[in-house]
Amino acid sequence: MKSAYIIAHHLISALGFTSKKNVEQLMANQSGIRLSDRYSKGLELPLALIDKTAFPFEYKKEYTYLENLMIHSMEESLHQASFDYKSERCLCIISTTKGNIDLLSNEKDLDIPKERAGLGNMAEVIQKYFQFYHAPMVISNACISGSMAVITAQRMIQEDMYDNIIVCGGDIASEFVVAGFNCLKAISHQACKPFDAHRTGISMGEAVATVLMSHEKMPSEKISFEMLGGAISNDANHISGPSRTGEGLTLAIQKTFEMTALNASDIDYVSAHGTATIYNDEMESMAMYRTALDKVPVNSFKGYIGHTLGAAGVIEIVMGIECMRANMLIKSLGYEENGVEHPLHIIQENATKAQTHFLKLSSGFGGCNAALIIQKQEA
Amino acid sequence: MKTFIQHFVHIHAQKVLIDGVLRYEETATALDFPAFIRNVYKHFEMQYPKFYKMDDLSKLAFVGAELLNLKKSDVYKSEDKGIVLMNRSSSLYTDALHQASIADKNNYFPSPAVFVYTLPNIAIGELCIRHQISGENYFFVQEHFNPAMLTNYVSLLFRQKHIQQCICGWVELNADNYELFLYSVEQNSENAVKIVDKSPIFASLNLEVDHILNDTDNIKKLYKL
Repeated sequence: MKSAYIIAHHLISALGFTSKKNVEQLMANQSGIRLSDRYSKGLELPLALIDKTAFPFEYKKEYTYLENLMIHSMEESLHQASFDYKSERCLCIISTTKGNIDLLSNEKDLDIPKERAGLGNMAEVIQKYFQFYHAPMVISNACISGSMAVITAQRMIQEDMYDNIIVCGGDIASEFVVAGFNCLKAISHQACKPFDAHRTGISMGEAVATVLMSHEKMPSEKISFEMLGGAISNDANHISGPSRTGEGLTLAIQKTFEMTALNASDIDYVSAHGTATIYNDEMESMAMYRTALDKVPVNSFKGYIGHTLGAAGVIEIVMGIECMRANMLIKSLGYEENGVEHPLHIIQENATKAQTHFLKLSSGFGGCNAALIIQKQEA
Repeated sequence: MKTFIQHFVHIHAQKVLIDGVLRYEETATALDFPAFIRNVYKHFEMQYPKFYKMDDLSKLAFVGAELLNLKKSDVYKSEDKGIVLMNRSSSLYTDALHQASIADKNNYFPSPAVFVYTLPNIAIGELCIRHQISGENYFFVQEHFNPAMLTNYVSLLFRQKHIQQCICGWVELNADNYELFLYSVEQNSENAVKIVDKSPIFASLNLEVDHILNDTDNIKKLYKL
């Protein structure tokens, strides 16, 4: 069995246009969430938006907004590595929930055909741009898509199906999703407060995040990150509300422990899904309690970058890795007072802690859950 | 590791085939999808009132999965069962309904009942609830049916012991068309369909003692049936 390493990454979010900038903002506890009515005319809602006035690249007119961001992020990642991405041994996996959903609105990019709202169509446009050998694999599994893409890449590298896999997660904010979550009464009117007693819902965000995964470590790096394994489960309970008992997420965590031969005492830090809806946070804390993770330091990055849907897993894995590299625990922004039945060890101030293993959790509509563990290795 | 096709279902062009045999055909003039799928539901005497609340993509997947006759072979633990689906149009058909409800600022009526279906994996969620499936679940969106991607990944899930049984297939629905090709796979051949019919399409399959192996070539051929 081969090992799978995360060898490079690149992030675009409300916090900035590089991984470095995103991590600096995290460490300084700066949130990217601002009140805006851009996608909800007349109603100001907290949104974590990418700064469109500050693109550090030339915007290509023949590509959509999301495609421009994905292409830039993948290019910046590929520059950091030296493998042949046009080879048969390289695959691209795209994780997204809504892709070019802005094309459905009549006001948008009239020169781009509406067919590009099709995720497979968008993926083939990206394949053509980079001249990838294979059509990208597109995973659209609600808010766990990003974590699933990383899990999927690890499994395929493990079996020697590919040498290198480019995982790119991306979703943009749009009137489509803002109006949708708002009609579900799931959007908070102030910046989201994961796990807090006064949480009232999510803050929407947008992001594009790329990780390069490889069967080989980067020879020049002293520290490397191995993706050890993960599992995916379903609550089989409700399509739009999480299980009250945390059943599905508990199962995903238990399977991940089994697969990696680790347990709760090996985990130094948990990056929770933590959307700040009443139901998600309650369910997630229940699952962490049931798997003895309630004493392990945990945060949610949603207070910094909002909920970035299909990008969430990928961007939050990168943030988790960088915190592990710096041996830093980052304050869970928005948290003041416990608001769940089984209290967690929420990180309330930045702190230093030596870390070897971190656990990422994700949950989404359709009852899906994912868990995965990444290990830091020092040469 | 060998895995076998238990059953397979096709629904397209107003026809329903189970294990390759025509079991229902709407001969009346062209029906729209909602009317057609309701007729199929009634014809096979399905009983699941939640069916009527589902969006069209979920209805298609639901009816297909009912016809796989999963109960007969339900010997697996919930967590060892999985679902891996693929289509071209994701949930775009329902997305358009949600978009239409927010297009006019003077007539703004986004609805939770529509919005929750604007993700393709909601159809998977519906099947998981119906058949108590709590293992691995994937929705892939590809521009064309990709039997190699589907088969290779499902086989990996079996080899790595993530699942012991799986519902797989292509569940496509858009404004003009619908096409379902759904099949169930398991490690044992005991519950697998037996191919005794030696007509050309079946004769060209890779069989092991009359059972259909779950491999890319077979899936390609069965899809075209």
